[in-house]
Amino acid sequence: MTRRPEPLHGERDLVEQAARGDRRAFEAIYRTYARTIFAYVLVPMLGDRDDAEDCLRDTFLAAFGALPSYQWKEPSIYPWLKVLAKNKARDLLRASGRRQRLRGAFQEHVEAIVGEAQTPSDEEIQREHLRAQIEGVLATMNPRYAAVLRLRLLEGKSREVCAEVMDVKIGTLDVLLFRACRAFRQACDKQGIALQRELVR
Amino acid sequence: MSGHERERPTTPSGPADPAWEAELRAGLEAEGGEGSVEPELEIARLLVHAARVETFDDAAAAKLWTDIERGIAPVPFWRRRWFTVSAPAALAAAAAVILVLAIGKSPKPGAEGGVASSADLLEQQFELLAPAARSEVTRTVEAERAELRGDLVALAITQGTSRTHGGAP
Repeated sequence: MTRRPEPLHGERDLVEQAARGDRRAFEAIYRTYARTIFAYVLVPMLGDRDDAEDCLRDTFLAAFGALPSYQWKEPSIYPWLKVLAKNKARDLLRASGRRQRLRGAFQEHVEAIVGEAQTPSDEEIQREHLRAQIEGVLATMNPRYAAVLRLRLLEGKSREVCAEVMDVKIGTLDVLLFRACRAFRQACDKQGIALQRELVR
Repeated sequence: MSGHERERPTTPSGPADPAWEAELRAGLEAEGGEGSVEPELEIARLLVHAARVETFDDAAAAKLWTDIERGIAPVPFWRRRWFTVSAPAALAAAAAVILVLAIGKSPKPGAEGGVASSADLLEQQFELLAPAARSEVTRTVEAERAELRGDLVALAITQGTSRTHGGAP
């Protein structure tokens, strides 16, 4: 279940305390933003949970070191942390010599559909907008493809349940899901949603 | 269904779950295809993300904070880089200064201090023994001179009855 990010009260004071080396204040900042950065920035960019955790740690270590030179900007430190996280993710991708597209990352698709958020609340709002956009694309697709995408990916039903609802065998369900994902991309193109294919190095 | 498929979780938890790739690959292979499933995987993950983001639970957050806290903890001065580099040099320099000062304060041979004390002792012993030794020498010289004079007088008396030697006694 997704928790809607809550604003951090007295954030500016906490940031100033953390900049002076107060680890408890810095921990409060971490507890507030780590989940959002992990789920909305690093996993979409890296497509891998372990890499995202490594990057999250590096992001906050770098943030603690850079805080003394940080200039506060309303309403939150989140955009600054997000930029740090994205830079760390790019560094990881470059260092590993792997291409973002070969890891199943999807950040660029999110931004192509709904743009980039600047606050944790915006991230959640934009995800709801993304869901609405996806429903719009599904409405234009072959009903069986739309149904398998909705059941398996959006509703998270098990393969067995999906196969039963779709009245197919498990093996056939896998083929249906694969074809449906391919058809979704084509449907996006028809809707004028340009899902980028450039490789990010 | 193969054994591998049976082991696969039936409900992947989030967009980063590697099970999505296995499921799409199974679909590709079932229709006789091969190669990358990355374009389809991106779409699958995008849709899953729209429905439920990847979870980062309290236990994972606490574990990661432990790592971060270790990384930002103040380092004791004796474990800091500047100390490990400069401390041996400072110790060596201090030892050199102490050595130089010690050598500067030590007495020169034959001047004062330990060696000079031995000379003083010898001098004191000499002063103690010298008067007696001088007296003994004087006494011996006087005695031998008197004896020699006696011998000469006796010889002169003995020979003086016949001739003299330039008026010598």
